[in-house]
Amino acid sequence: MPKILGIDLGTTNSAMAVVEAGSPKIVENKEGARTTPSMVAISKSNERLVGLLAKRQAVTNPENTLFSIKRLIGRRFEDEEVQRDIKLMPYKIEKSNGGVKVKMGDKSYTPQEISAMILQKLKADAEAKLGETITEAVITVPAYFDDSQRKATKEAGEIAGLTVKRIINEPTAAALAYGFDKKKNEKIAVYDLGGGTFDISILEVGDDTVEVKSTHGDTHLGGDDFDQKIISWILDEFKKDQGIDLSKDSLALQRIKEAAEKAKVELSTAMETEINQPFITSDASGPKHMVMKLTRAKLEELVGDLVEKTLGPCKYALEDAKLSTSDINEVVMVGGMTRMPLVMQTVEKFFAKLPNATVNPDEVVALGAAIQGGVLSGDVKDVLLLDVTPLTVGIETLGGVRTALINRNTTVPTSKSQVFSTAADNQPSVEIHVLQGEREMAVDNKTLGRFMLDGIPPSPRGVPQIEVSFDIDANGILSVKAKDKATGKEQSIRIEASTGLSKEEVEKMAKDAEAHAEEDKKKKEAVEARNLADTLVYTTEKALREAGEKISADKKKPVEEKIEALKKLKDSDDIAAIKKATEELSQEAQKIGQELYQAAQAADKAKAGEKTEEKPPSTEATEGKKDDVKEGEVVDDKDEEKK
Amino acid sequence: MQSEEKKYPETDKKGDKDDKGKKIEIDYKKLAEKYLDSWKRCQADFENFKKDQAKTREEFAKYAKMDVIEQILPVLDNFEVSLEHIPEKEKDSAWVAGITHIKRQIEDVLKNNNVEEIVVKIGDKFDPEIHEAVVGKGEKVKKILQKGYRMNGRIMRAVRVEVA
Repeated sequence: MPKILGIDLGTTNSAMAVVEAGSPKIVENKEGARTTPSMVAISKSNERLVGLLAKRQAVTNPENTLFSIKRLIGRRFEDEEVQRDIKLMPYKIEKSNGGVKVKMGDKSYTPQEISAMILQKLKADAEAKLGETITEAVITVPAYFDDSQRKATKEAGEIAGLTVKRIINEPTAAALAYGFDKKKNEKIAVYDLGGGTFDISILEVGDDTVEVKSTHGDTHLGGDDFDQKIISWILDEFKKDQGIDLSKDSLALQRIKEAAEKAKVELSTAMETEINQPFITSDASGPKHMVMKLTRAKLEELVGDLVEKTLGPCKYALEDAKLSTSDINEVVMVGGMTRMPLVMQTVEKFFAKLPNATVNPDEVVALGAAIQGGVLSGDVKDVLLLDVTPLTVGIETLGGVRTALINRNTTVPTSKSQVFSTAADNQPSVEIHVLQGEREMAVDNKTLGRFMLDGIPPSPRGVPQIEVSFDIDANGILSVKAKDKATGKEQSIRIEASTGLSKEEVEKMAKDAEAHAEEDKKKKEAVEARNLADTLVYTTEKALREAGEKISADKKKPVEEKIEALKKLKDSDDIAAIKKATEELSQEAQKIGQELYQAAQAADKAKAGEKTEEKPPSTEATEGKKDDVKEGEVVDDKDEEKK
Repeated sequence: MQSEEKKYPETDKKGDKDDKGKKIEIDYKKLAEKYLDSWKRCQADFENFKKDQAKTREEFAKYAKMDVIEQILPVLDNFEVSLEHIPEKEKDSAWVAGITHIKRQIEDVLKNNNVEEIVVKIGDKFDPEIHEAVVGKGEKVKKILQKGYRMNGRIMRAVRVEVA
């Protein structure tokens, strides 16, 4: 089935995506980039250049390099926007049949012809990348585009050889990418702060429509303004410091521009960054270096007013939709600038709601367009919508530790089994305590159910093999089964409401886990250290017992001392001491092992000399080994009480 | 105000069930065929996904280093500029020679990772495939401002030039 290309035809950058195996993915262009500059040029040698190539030569050929054509598409010459651009743009804008044309080389083109050149490149690159012909597309436009602008965009697609299956609104596409189109009667605010424009749209999801209730924005506010503020600050600081004005030095300026962008990106995660540009210039006294610190606080001070400026349109949009912030169910972030923590915080404060920002904000619109394309082509039809488990499920094991069987976000149906064992000698039964949650310790998770498997034949700890299987079916129903491999005896439980948690509950649990991650890790480490100590004491004592007279008392003594020392420490909270004592005992015990081994070898040799037909001793050893027994043992009742 | 109609595919109601609940006759054979087909498609999708993943991994291995190396390029640029500014009296010192060797080491790292410098000569015709104009008007390369590099044939950074 031919794919429908989803295209985000942006003012400064464009992106494209397709649905593959039910989910949308960005298609890279020929240059290997995920976005393509929305630029077209005719070189002096009459070659048409689109995208990055057009951008690279823009400086030397400004009058024949067209950008921000989206501001002109479908507009009338008299429009305020067009008149403003005539003053701003280095290329020539002409009147033509009431509409506009732009000059490039010695020819004039309509904005749709120019947009078509961008679309043509996207189409060709997508075809090369996907290895199939693309004939159909879904193209996004701003929500405020009127009929003539939409029509012109559609024409652009058709000139490029694409059948435009649908023109959809950018905010709607973003909501689609988050799957919010299924949220009936919800109201969604889409906050889009891109490279050059800011848009806020209020959407209402109806039965099978997504309606744009209102939209506002600022067509000349975006990331470029933010960069400019940082660049000015750097230039000022350098001038103050070194007395040199770099604003006329084009290479230095280029380097500063990149440094400013890098600093901006870094300050989204770090609190402070260094702008380090050695040898930025030189004067009579020698080379000059630019080394300055920029803190997040300073950056926020520089661009704070720009962020504030976006709130005005937000208020108007709500007023137009006759809604208040409390009516908004979801806020969606679009555009690279929304990665800035200050923007996130400001929006969160304004709407009193945590904005959605999990989908890459540069790509979310193209992805949404691809989803719409997938729906139209019926691609989504045959693909089963599969759920994921919202939370990890597992069982409680020795020492109150939660052992995960199926991790969160695993696509269902799925099943997983693991072999466990007993924690004590002659333990007759194991309790399977089924848990749900993200915390490391059993008590901090939610109990989904518990059951006993009894009738385990008396045997030393660690020997029985209890296979625990988890199965989650397509409806999210969890079945847990425990089976004693020796007797074939089994018990099971079915838990229907394993996913009956609201989104908020799930989020809270995930957040809790994150908040407690460090302390949980320590607790788990402590239990593991204790378990290890316990096991070592047990096995060493057993070995000593079994060795009996084979080991002389003076060899036994140091081991027994170490055992006693570890036993005393075992239940204390001093994890480091437990670990140390365990290590010491382990070393001492190894000496015994060595001795036993040597003795056994000597005995074998003697035996082998007598009876050659006897089975080699190594076979016996491996037979006894239980290779597939996993560490971590199912708790027994005693251990439950001990906690 | 604009609204968009979403057309979700209707589930196929023909054959299997009668909505009014009068008589429910299920054509199990047809249903089984349908499921088998879906299953096969799913399996095929998965196989294709695996092939696609293998291809992506290959690509990834080839270009994953690109990001890191791109970040090293400015370091090399500055190294080069610094060497242009060696004070006259230090020129022949062993220390400077050592620093020059370090620069060569960096260049070796690049070479071993299939990174090659894009060779440009003054007077070359401006070509946006490999050049980025930073200043000037015209068709010819007048001055090389910053070197450009290619990795596995893909342009990592175009040569920054002044044109005239």
